[in-house]
Amino acid sequence: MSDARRALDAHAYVDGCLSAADRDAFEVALARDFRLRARVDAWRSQNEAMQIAFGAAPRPRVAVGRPSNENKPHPLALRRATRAAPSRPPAGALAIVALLALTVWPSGGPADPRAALAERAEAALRSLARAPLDFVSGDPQAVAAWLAGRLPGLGEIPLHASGLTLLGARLVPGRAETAAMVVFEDAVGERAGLLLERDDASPDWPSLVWRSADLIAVSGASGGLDYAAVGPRASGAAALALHPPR
Amino acid sequence: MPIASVRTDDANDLRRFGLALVRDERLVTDDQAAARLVDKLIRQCGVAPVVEGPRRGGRVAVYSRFVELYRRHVRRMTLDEETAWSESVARSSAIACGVRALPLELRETLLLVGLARFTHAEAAQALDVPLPRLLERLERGRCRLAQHMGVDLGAPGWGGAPHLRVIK
Repeated sequence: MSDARRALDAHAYVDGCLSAADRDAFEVALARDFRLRARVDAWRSQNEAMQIAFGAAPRPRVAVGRPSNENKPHPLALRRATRAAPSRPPAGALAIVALLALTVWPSGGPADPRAALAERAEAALRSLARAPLDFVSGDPQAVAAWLAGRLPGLGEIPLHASGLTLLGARLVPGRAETAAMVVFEDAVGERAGLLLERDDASPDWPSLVWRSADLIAVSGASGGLDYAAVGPRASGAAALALHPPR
Repeated sequence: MPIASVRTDDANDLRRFGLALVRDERLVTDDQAAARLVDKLIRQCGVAPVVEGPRRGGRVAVYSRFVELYRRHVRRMTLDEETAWSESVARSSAIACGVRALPLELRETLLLVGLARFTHAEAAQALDVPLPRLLERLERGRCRLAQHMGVDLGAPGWGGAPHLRVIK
């Protein structure tokens, strides 16, 4: 397969425009070619970042090896978890947790804003954490000062957690206004983030823990500030949350 | 009398696409101005949003009409050679800045596919270009956006010069 043909197919694959047979053939090529994978990842990240930047719901991301146009839920989608849940629950446990969440928030009822907050933090982390930062500093005070200039009324925020190194911060699209994500790195180079968004109309919500196969998130609201800490499950990112879950 | 009706969620998608398309670094560098222009163009499209009802097959036609109206608007405008500065642009996300810095033909292609989720064939139809040209624009747009974002596309030969050529 020529480079030009693969370049074409990479776009069609990412945008869900390949037939099943072509998709299978492309995935074989994808498994062998790291440069092709880099391009596919780049195009996917662009699509997701555009969805976030311009306010649309991100398209469910499809893992390599899955049919790209089946519109299945993201296999790593965050699910509400309880503190008692084991660190690596079996698939059945996640299904039970999801069922509990549906019971608490029945269809047609008001959605838990912390769920959307955790999803936005997850999407921002997956799409934007590797992009250049707007402010690069490992100094918590400098980052806090930079944030204070962009999120009016921001109080004192602890920007440290055991095992995480502060890298800086970047502005990200929020639900109503601009939000900010403080970006950290763990010992193995994986990124974690703390999403912060001012929302004076938001009531206080206690922190709630969400888990997917690879990520953990803690989201809540306090004093007109929505927050969501998100990162790899083993990174200790949950400790970034402004308030620990009850 | 509207020429087409779209469901409310589709109308919201069109407005979102419009806001992303018309914001650039030369003509419309302000959110409010962008919103006014998009509302005006949507009115000119003759689109009437409906809350319920089946999706009409005219989604491509409505986007195509919107793009054409915006192209006309751009042609009418006297372009200022000096790049406009805007606080809102400076505060936008890197991806939004990158999209706004793209030429219109690349921006509309990328937004139709990446934001409005058109298939390649639908996007080609909406923009009234052949499919190979749409793919060539998609390739160029994505590569330029990746460069803007500082994304490494791998070894030379992949991320550098575009691989696709339009053969007339």
